[in-house]
Amino acid sequence: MKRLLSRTFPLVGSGPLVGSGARKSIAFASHGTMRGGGGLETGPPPSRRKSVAPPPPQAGEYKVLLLICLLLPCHAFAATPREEARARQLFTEVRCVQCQSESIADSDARIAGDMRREIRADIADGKSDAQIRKALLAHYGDYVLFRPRFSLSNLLLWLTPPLIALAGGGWLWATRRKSVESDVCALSAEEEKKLHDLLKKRD
Amino acid sequence: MTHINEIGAYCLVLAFCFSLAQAVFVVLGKGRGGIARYAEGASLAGAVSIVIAFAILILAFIRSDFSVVNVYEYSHTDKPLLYKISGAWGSHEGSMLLWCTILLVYGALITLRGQALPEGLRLKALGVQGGLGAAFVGFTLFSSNPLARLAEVPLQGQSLNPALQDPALAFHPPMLYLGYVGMSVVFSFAVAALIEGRLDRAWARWVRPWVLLAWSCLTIGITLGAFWAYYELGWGGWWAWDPVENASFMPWLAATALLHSAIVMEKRDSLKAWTVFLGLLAFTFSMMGAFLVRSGLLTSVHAFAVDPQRGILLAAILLLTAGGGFALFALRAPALAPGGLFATVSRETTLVLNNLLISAALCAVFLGTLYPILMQALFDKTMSVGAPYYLLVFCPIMVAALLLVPLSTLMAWKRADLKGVLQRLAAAFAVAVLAAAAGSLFYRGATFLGEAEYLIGLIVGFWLIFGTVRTLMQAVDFRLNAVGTALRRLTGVPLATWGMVLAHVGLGVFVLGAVVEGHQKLSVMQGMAIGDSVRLGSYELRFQSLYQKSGANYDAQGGVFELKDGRGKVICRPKPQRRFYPASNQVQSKVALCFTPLDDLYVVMAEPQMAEAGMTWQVRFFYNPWVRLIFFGPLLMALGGALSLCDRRLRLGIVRKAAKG
Repeated sequence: MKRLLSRTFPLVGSGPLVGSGARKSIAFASHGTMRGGGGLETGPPPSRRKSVAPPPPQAGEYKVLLLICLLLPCHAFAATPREEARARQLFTEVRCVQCQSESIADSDARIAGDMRREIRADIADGKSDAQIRKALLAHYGDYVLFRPRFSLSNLLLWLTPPLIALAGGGWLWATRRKSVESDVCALSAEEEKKLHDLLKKRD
Repeated sequence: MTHINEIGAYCLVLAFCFSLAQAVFVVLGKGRGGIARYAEGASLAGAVSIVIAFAILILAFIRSDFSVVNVYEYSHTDKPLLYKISGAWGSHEGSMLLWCTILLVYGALITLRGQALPEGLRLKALGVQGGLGAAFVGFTLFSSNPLARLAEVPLQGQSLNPALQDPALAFHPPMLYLGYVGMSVVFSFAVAALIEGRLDRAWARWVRPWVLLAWSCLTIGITLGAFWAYYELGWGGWWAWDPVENASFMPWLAATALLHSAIVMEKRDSLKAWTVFLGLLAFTFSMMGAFLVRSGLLTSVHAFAVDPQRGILLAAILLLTAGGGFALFALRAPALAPGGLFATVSRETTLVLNNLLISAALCAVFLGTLYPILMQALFDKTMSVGAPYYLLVFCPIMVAALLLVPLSTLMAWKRADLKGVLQRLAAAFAVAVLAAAAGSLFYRGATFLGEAEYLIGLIVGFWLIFGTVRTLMQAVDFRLNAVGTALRRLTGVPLATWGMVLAHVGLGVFVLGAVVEGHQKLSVMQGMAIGDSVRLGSYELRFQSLYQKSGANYDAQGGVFELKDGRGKVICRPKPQRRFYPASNQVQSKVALCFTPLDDLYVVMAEPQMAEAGMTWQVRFFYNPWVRLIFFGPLLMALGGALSLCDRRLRLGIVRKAAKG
């Protein structure tokens, strides 16, 4: 079985998504071949998040999983361009928790690589962006997201700038009429009449 | 020879005394005539003494005089001369002295160039400037003296952080501080005018050159910083919305708003209270930046690691000066007579909208920077605010502001003809949309939203450029059948108009660069052994060989790469390095850039790793399209500011001639 695996996974790894392949390979074989020919991430095996780690598979499950693996075409693990774009978008939103205000997209720290690999794997697993964010929040807390949640405590953060623009605009609109009245239509009906009379006198 | 350091320290004490005297004389003399006039002499003497102190610090760095603590901590005999000199402002203490030097020299400039200003205003401004000088020089002298000595002289210094040994960073702090501290002049004049209780168009005219000078320097300073972050830190980006970057961006935004509102005040006698408020705000943000960077509140690549006690002192200075300024404003502003009226459709209105939108954008940057700090302090919650927040909140507001720019420059003062302006701009807008559409024809974003952003961004960039060109055509009364006459008229266009045109075109150029780089950037990171190659877009990068090189104060190991474009033609051979600095025992990656006119191909090597197959290096390879425009645009803007400054009507000394005439 090990030989089978090591024949399967380098193939998977040669796609642009070693991450998911590598992660899967640990799930099945404790020391399977992990370094693909040349993928995006070639670091050490990822340290896995404890809270989301599935229980170790039972002996029976191995066969089922292996069957599924063999049935699936190899490129099932490779990210489509759309998935890759989604992953990259998410990377910019996730903070490298051990770096100095760097996103995991920018950091070349080891932990950033691990986090990227996990997110790629989650995307390959079919999780939505919201699910991935939620899992990250549950594990690392608010600190990990560069895009703060739209929550009650962050209301001021999100709403003040647009409100300033809108309220200021509203205030300008409200005071606009006054200035027009005082500037342009400055003459009241009585004054109009006076002017008219004056002009008449001249004539 | 070592006694010279004592002279420096003595000059620093003198500078403190002169600044204090400068403020005291003005207070004693009740702000006009008599004893208050001695403040002028004090400002000159203070500037001379602090320049001597700073020169002596630089000299100590050049001489590698390790009896000075600061030189010992931040210098080394092996450093190249340029970095020995720039080491003088590479530390908290040294950069504080640079800050104070610029502050006092600006004070002396008020005396030298402001002789034609009304005496009361000039002397009061000098008094405020003296107070600021005393506060900052006092802080430097008593809590962070850069000229403090060591009893036993070490043989060798600890050297400057290698990341700071870079030409862009050598000039980044001086330019930045010329900008930050330049706002102090505006602050002093604002406070002086509030005390005098007199604010008129002339005030705006005196203050505007100072704002222009500070704004131009700040623009260059921030650009240099961004450029340094781009090619020295090796992460492929140029702006991370890092709190320290924001700290420099906030005064810039406030100064930009001030620059525009001061025009309204000068031309139309309107927006007085608002302009003065912005004058106070710009320097407040400068001081807040200094506080944030030096207090240890922020962890950032750019922050100085400094103990909290100094932070408290700086916070006290910030609260006293800014608090005093704004309290005075609250007392006096309601009494300011509202000035010229204007119709709804007029240049004034568009400039008011510009100020409103910039303020809202400034608020976004302010909240984004301070919210995590406040949440931590008040509720003990950790959180992060980063690029995605600013893209969602800051950018839409700025897009609205930028769309207004060409409209504003074509509108008449007091009352404008909206329909006429729109008609005149229709062609420019159409060209901008066409150019943007052509530009995004081949762009496939991840989401529809991404594609929409890209298109809107390009439209804004082209609209700024073509709309501004249309304004220039209006200024020379361009007609198709009289192209020659129009071209001849170009020489008659005032420098201030050229400045405006350059600044707005530069802004458009920057927007184009930022949008294209932001959306089309490609990158790949891979462990490569010699002989490996990696593809990115249509480019192929091959790792050919290794080389060794020793520099002035480092040993470098580098890779020789070969970069081919889609047709297999070799474009260049990038040689990224990893430099080991023995003096500080630090390793610094040096980026290799392949310049093309607009794009960069950017290669950086990380530490080697032992793998089964042999040594591999983590190589990051970026394709940064149009990134050149990001740095070129702001330089155009600063050049525009400088041109405006050279305009005869705006020159710093012009008030003198005007007063005589």
